[in-house]
Amino acid sequence: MAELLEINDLTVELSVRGGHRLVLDRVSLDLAPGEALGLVGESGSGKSTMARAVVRGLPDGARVRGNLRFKGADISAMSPKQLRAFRSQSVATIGQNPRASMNPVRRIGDYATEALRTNFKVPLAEALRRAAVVLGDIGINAPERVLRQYPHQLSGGMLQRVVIAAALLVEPDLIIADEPTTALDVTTQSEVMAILQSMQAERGMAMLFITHDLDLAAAVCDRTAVLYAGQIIEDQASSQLQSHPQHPYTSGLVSARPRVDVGIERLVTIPGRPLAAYERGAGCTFAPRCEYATDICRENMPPVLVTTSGRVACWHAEELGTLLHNHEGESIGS
Amino acid sequence: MSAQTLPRAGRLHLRPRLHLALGIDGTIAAAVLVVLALVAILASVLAPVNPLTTDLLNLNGSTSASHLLGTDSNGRDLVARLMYGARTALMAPFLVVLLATTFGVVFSLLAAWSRGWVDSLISRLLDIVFAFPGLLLAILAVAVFGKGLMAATIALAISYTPYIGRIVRGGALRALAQPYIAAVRSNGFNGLHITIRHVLPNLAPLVLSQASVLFGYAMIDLAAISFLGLGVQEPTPDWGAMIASGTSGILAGYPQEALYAGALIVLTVACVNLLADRIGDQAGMN
Repeated sequence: MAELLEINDLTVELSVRGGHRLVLDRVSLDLAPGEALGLVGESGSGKSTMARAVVRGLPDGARVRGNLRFKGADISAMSPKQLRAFRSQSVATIGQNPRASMNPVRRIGDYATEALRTNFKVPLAEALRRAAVVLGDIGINAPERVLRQYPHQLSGGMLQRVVIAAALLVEPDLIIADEPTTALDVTTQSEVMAILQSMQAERGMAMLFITHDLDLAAAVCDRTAVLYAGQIIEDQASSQLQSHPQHPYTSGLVSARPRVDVGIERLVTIPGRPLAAYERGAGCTFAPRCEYATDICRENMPPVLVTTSGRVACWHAEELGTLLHNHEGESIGS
Repeated sequence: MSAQTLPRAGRLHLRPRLHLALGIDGTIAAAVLVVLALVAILASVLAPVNPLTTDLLNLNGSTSASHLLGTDSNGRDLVARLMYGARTALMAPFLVVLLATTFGVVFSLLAAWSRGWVDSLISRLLDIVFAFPGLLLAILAVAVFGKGLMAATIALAISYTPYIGRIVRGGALRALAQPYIAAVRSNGFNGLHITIRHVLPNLAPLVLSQASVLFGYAMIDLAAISFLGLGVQEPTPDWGAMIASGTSGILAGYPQEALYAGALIVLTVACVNLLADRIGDQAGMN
């Protein structure tokens, strides 16, 4: 199948106080049409930078190398006009904080219909009608009233629904959701996620879902990629990732989750602290924290192995495969 | 009516709504200005007599049945002259403010959006204009283009542009740094759309407030120009010109012409400034 989004060897350096810091290091990722891909990682691992790189929204002074293609077209080579068309019609972004992404002096109706009216030349009445339908679809009562309200009159959960509705109205090929539920409370989170997931599946849009919640990614996405210090260390089907993690870091993450069904004294943790991409030495980024690390790990960057279920960047992936699986099994058994 | 009253399904529209709470004093000031504007517009209907008709038997007359506020040194009715005078006295500053606001907003939004050398160029040009006192520039314009209101109005508009421009540029830079601007940018809207639809509405109270303040200044400057005899020319009535022609009367014991015209200028400027203050409160400027 032809890929919708192809990211090849994407390297991003952001300018920090005069110098440049490596944030993403030779990241490669493909996204098929209609596919939901989770991008999981700790704070500072480069998740959001990746999302911004896709829409060419990196801050001034960023250095980007590598190849970004959308439907075969090179994103970094787009003219300003092509870029605007790409941003307005092909991709929709949903941010972390819906309140920050709306102009406080404009109404919900202005916000929701802005893209239709400006980029698709839909008349106001028609755009409002369509917006009301979509708002109704995603479970907002009295959408006509909501369209006349201002952002400050709605709750965070409602606003995020409006953002999702506005994204859906454009009928993009790709939705980039950057931690869309971070600013919401847990019950609202699940509602918003359910809406996002069902809409994405129903309308056949591809989604790049960025989160630090492994379970959420597994529940929503077909495939999950794990980002650690600016590198993708593992990429597999979500169901596989949970039961058969191939990388020690993923395995650590999986076992570090609190569980409701098993009582344990202390949560399992990964020793050490997460490194940033620019702090890394010559070897595997995770080596200093990895209990299986050997000399080769510390001295040489691991190759990316294509396995039966996905990709993994680890020297010992083959030997560890079953071991990591057992490790997960143990924690359940004890 | 049924027992169960359902909420009425709203119609699909987005009515623009102006949220301005002016307070009692602000409302009174606005009302006074509306009345003055109406009098200026309807002067030809409301004025008791022609402002140019001279009553030679009644020079420097005081209040009487035929002349409510008396007459000037040429025997012309002061009520009629004040009413007609309101036209130039209000219209010219309005034009000054309109032009200055338009120039200021357009150039500053362009500067704030473009940044870089465009911003530097526009900002330095505004600084240069800022260095000239408005009155001086207006007198210079009159010297070059001849007496009359037009040259003075345009000169004042140019010299007032930086007053609007600087405030708008600062506000626009602040607005453009907001996350929602980054959001609309990443949704592929172009600069013109973003500045007009997103930045300008946020700056509206700021612009409105500053424009009102400038109206007061423009009114005083224009009155000064007419007082110096460089603006409105005899026999056309104008408040500034009336103060000038009434000055000699003050010493002769006939203060009414200069007094009434001066009082109206003070009243208008005070009301405009009060209104500007109240609008400024709304914009969170004070």
